[in-house]
Amino acid sequence: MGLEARLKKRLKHFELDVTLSCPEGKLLAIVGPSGAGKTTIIRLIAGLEKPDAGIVTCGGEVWTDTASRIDLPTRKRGIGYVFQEFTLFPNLSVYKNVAFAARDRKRVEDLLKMFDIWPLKDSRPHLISGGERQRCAICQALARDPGVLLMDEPFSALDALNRRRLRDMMKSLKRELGIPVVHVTHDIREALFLADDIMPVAQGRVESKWILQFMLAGKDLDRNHCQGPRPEYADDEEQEIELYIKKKEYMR
Amino acid sequence: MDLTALLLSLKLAFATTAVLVVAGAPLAYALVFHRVPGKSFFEALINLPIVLPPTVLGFYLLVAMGPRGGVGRAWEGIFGSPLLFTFTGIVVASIIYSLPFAVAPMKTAFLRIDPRLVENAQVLGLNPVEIFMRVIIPNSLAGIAASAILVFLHSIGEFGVILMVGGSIPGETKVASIAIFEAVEALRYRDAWIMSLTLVPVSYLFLLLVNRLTPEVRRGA
Repeated sequence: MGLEARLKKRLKHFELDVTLSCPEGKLLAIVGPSGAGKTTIIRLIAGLEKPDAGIVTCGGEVWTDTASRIDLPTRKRGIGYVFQEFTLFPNLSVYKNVAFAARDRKRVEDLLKMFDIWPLKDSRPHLISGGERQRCAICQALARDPGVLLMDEPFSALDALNRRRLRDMMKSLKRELGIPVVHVTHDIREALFLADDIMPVAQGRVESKWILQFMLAGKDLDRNHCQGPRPEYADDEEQEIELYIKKKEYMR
Repeated sequence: MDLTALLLSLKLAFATTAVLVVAGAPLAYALVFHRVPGKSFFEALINLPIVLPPTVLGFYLLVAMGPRGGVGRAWEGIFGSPLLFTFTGIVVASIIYSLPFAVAPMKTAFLRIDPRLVENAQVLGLNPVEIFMRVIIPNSLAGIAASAILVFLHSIGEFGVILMVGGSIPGETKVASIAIFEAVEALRYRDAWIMSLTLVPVSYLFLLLVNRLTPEVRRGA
């Protein structure tokens, strides 16, 4: 079943027009330059924004259907959403943040231990590091056993070490979760490392593979140009990425 | 010194503050986070007491709350007693007069909350009432305290509206500001001096108390 979406929305500089599909237990990475409309896509899936036209279904349940005027409120969609940063409740401890919408306490404890932040359970979010905050945010999203996990550049504000740790954790976790995971990133190597399928997006549309080639050449694309530093990766990661590329034949 | 008048002022200020903190918060929440039809019209109406002379507002309230006014008639129909020239009457007038002072600081505090926190709460399955109780209120305590202080002190200082709606009935509507005015008119300057001087430390002490109770205010957040 999984997650299926067909979305159209007029944005400031272009029209977003994409179709995507993500089966259960798989991770779909939406990659593209800043301002390509990536975040808007998952906000539309979450119901945080309304499309001009489109359909979103998950596990056979219709969440959005503009033609039939169906628009299930965000709170009823049962999603986990990891924002880029700063969305933990500042008045609550790490434990209470994760337990905020959790179904049971055992799950909260398991997640905090799995993500190695159990010793910080009584700390407030402003007293822990950026990496720890993002791990807490992922735990918070997972604690209510969501039907879909949506992640909006969750590692982009982290240092290289934390980014790698979290990527490794997510890679092993996605199989266990058994739900569709949609991961938005501007980092093509992160996408290649984590994803089962990749959807390159530019100017609101699913673009041909040349974007991946550009980005793999070490150039992060901004709205119009190719520029920016090449991200650092360890040798084994490079090998894994190369393997993936060969497998997917994106570099032909 | 008219101690009764002073205590009545405190009672009025407490009653007004209690009502406005409870009623003002959901009002400010709706204005900030929800699409309310005719929002700007409604907001201008709420803010009208700031610009209107208190006597003008008092006059309209006097008419509305009188036996021939809609509010006064309805009140008498329900409770069997008049609203005008009673303590309840001056509380109602005080609530209307201080409403903008309750709503404005709360709106500012609510606007300061990162909208992503509200979106995160939505994603986590909370309905608007739960978001208000579990996210908005706990993260705007400083703004709510500021609102309570303003309303409290504003209520203690009210004069024109109270005089119009309540007159000067000792123990019922004769609050400190009216007692001071009457003392001056009767050339009892000593009484006026003492009561005026009493209001300054009372106001100051309340400001200090709320500051001590609210760490967010102390930190200047």
